[in-house]
Amino acid sequence: MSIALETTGLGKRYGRQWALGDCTLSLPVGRVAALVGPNGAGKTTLLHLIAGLAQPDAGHVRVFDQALVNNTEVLARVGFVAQDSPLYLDFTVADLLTMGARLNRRWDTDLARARLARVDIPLDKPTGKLSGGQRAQVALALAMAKRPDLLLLDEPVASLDPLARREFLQALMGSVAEDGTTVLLSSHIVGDLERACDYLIVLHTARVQVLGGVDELLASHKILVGLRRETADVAGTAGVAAVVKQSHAGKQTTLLVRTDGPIHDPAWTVEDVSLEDFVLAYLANSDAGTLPGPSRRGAST
Amino acid sequence: MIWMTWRQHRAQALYFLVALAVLAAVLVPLGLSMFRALTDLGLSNCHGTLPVGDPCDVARNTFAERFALPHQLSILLAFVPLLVGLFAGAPLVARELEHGTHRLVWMQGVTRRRWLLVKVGLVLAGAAAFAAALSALVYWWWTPYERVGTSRFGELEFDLQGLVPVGYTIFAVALGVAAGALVPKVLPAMAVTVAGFIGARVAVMVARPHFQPAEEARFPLFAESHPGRFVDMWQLSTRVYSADGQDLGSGLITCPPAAEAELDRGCAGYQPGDYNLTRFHPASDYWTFQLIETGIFLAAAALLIVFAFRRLRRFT
Repeated sequence: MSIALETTGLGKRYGRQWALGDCTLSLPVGRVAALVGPNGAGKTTLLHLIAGLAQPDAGHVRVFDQALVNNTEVLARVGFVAQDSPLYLDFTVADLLTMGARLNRRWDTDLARARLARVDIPLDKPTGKLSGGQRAQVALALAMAKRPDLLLLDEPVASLDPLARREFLQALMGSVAEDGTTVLLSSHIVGDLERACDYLIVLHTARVQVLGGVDELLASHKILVGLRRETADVAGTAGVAAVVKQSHAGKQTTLLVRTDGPIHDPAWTVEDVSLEDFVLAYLANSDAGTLPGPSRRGAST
Repeated sequence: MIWMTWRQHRAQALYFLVALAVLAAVLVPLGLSMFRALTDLGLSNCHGTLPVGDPCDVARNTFAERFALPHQLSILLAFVPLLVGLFAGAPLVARELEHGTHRLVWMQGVTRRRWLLVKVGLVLAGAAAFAAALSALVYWWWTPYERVGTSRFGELEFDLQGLVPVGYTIFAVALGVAAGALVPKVLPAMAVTVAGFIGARVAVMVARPHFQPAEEARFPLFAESHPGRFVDMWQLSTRVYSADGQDLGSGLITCPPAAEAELDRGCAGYQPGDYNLTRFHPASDYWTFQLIETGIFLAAAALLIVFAFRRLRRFT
């Protein structure tokens, strides 16, 4: 499996504060990865470092096994939509398409036009007169027209209403599936990503907390519901590798656990976990982490 | 990138063309009427420095008084380079960084370096062309003033014509670009541009008299005839000295020959042998001074552009 994107010990500091620290991850080609985390966790910083818009203070980034700095070859293969989809507000949509055609060697105007036609965006309108959602669509169309091998999207759905959000992600998935584009998109809205993404990166307070394929991660985590008891007892239960989150309500205890085998203890009802619950559980417990291979924190609580 | 630069700056280019047209619509008719006045007042055959009271000198004063207002207003032209720097230079980088559009354009297939090179290069070329056209227009318009003895070489007149307005304009635009790379917001970048431009202009203005050693002319207070108003040259100072070199104060004092001087109260207290000393730069140094001053501002502009490139290369 070839690697689209790889970061090693990547870090970025603003003043004395590390916005991102010791970030090591790799993203296989063809994956659609969700980058989630609370505000200020370092999502935007990570995306900027990958896009080459920011320079790391530690570690390095390789995209398609090449360094980024002033590298037009890599630049041509990466599409990027920044947060809030910045556009030249005095340009018409058609102007922006011309801009893309002039500034890129590889450029698919027809693709962009078709995408924009599908969402009813007129080409002769200045982008300053479009709604926030329409601007997000234009920015995405511009990034897609580069026919990128790696598409980086920073909060692409934040300005869209729930219906548009779903359509946007569906359209995105549809087109990237055809080309085999690798996608990394950040979001703090987790619910929408479940259907769209097959890879997950959770950032928490400038650190990578969770990394892996969505299916594998969800398969190795379960929710246990049973009579109220102390967590210490659970650690011994066969199949439970770590307790990520516990909550007690009345006589009942609910646990989200990482498993290392089937759980047959009759004291527990075992349920599958949704992506949203999974992410929220990890975000609530910053000491927990699950990373492939030997990791800094270890794979247990 | 050329298309991109044109698309981003075409409205601005239009505004500057309109401004140039308006200035031409004022200066060309005014200049033509001044040339006519030269002929009407019989000034066509008056040349050089003339004795006080000469008919030519009287006609020159008439002309200077009639066209004093446009002369005074012309000082406003000294601000044109700053305006170009404010509106073409300061937003060039600052607006992109303020609105985040650098994250759009830097992710297209061109490097930041090339992006900045083409944008700055074309805008500088346009600004320089604008400044050169305006400067040539002002130079032509100034010719009648020069004929009547208002030198182009004067402290303020020097700044409005010749090569220096082009140097100032290129400097102002470069300063705006560098200010935008330093403070990534349009208004603060404009403020930095204003402060930097005025500071640099004042500093160089103070240094200007020392570009070349000044020449000196002495002439006695008591004489049959006195030289009239100096023309063409740049007069730095005129002071009165005693025969043994003591400074008796500033100003130009002319007295009739010593025998008759007792009647003239302004001449009381001065001795035969006292003399006026004028320090000046001759008219022949005009283009040397223009070249030196333009060179200073072009060199500063080059440094500012290098600074902007280095700063943006690291901008994150």
